[in-house]
Amino acid sequence: MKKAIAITLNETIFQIAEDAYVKLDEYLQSVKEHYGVKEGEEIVFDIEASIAEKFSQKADKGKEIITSEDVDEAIKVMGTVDEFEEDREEDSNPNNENELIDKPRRLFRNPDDVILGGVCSGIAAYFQTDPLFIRILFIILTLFWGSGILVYLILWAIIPPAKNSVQKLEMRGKPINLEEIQEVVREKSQRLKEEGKNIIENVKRKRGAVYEILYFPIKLLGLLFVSLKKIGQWSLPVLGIFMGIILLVSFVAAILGLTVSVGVLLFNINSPYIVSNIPLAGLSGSIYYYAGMVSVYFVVLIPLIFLMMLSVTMVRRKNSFQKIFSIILVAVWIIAVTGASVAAIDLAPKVSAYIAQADAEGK
Amino acid sequence: MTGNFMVKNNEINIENTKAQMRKGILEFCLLLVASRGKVYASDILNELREINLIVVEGTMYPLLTRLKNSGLLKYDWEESKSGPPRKYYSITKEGKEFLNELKKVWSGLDKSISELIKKFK
Repeated sequence: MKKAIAITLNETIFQIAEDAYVKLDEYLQSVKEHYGVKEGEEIVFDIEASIAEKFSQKADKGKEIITSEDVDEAIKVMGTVDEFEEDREEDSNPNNENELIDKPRRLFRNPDDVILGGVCSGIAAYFQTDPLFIRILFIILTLFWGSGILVYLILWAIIPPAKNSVQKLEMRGKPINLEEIQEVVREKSQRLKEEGKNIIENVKRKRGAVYEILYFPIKLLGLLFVSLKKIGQWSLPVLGIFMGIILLVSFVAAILGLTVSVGVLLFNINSPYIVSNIPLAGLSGSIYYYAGMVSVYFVVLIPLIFLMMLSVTMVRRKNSFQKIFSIILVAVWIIAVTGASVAAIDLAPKVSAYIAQADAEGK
Repeated sequence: MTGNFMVKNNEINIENTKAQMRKGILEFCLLLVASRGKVYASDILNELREINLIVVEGTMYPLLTRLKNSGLLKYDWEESKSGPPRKYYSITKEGKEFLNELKKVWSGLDKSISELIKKFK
């Protein structure tokens, strides 16, 4: 008398003798272990399906139970892991993916999480942090004379996109720890020093040097982010949603406030509520005044829209941006900055003239 | 003694060389078979077995998975009359380009090897 077990292979039920089950299980385990969890599961699935077919043929012939001999036969046809290797030597390396992960990360633009060019999410992947931090940083930088946009465009131009899965893996690289970042920073600063010594060579490798210099502050920031991330790892999601809601409300309020004030400045310039030491009413006749106001409105409005969208992203914990929308916004922003500058050039002499006049009158 | 050793060593090398040759063209053959349309894994197996390319079936599954993960092959599930749905493999656009490249290399190799064989007959 032998004990029999019911098993499923590829959604088909088989009755199998206990010793045969042990043998089959060992075989499938060996295959799975050999190819690693991710790839192994799929391969084992295919092999199971193939074995199931062989057993089904036997069952069709009236065989009710799978015996140890049947399993032997199936394994002989399928081949053991060692025999796979004899046919294909490359398969003997189950650590393909691990090797990739052990490489240092490379900075790529992340095409899977894009607002404009995937620069921020790529940088975030590089530092294993939330893209949100990097995006906020860029928007804050943008409020300082648009430098964020400039840096962004430069980075967009010089950082390649992660085109295939290998590059995407490289982009993520190995799990980061503080020591490794310090090591990388140390290496890079060492290299920067050396590069400084040979300026001539430096010029030849101009792109490389610019790259390094741009990287250095980002590296330091990365250090900060990783430390922050460690502190806020668990509290961050809840806090993020909470902050997101607060920020969303504030930014919507800010946009409303901005719109109302600009509206008043444009259409109700003589309102007694406007208190300003710049003679706005006196300037309001000029077409440049209106162009300037509208430009300034957009210059401030667009970063606010981005911040608002970021808040939405924080609340939803999902990228809420659409690339085309972002591109249009950035284009409008650039036009608005240009418009504001042109208007300022025209209005500045008038303002100083007016102030001079006021001063003279005061005396 | 020495002679015996030499012969033995030689035999191992011949087996090894044969295996190496087979290995080199296995992907090529898999793509070739898959390029004719949707094929079931065991159909591919039978084709390859007919030309003595494959010794054990298990060799093929890791290779299929790898070709699929590299985007050269894809599979669709299709209902079967007897049993659960089956994976049917077919070649992708990239796979076709890959295959065409391999075909070129193969005909080049075929030509030069034949010439070499003729030359040193």
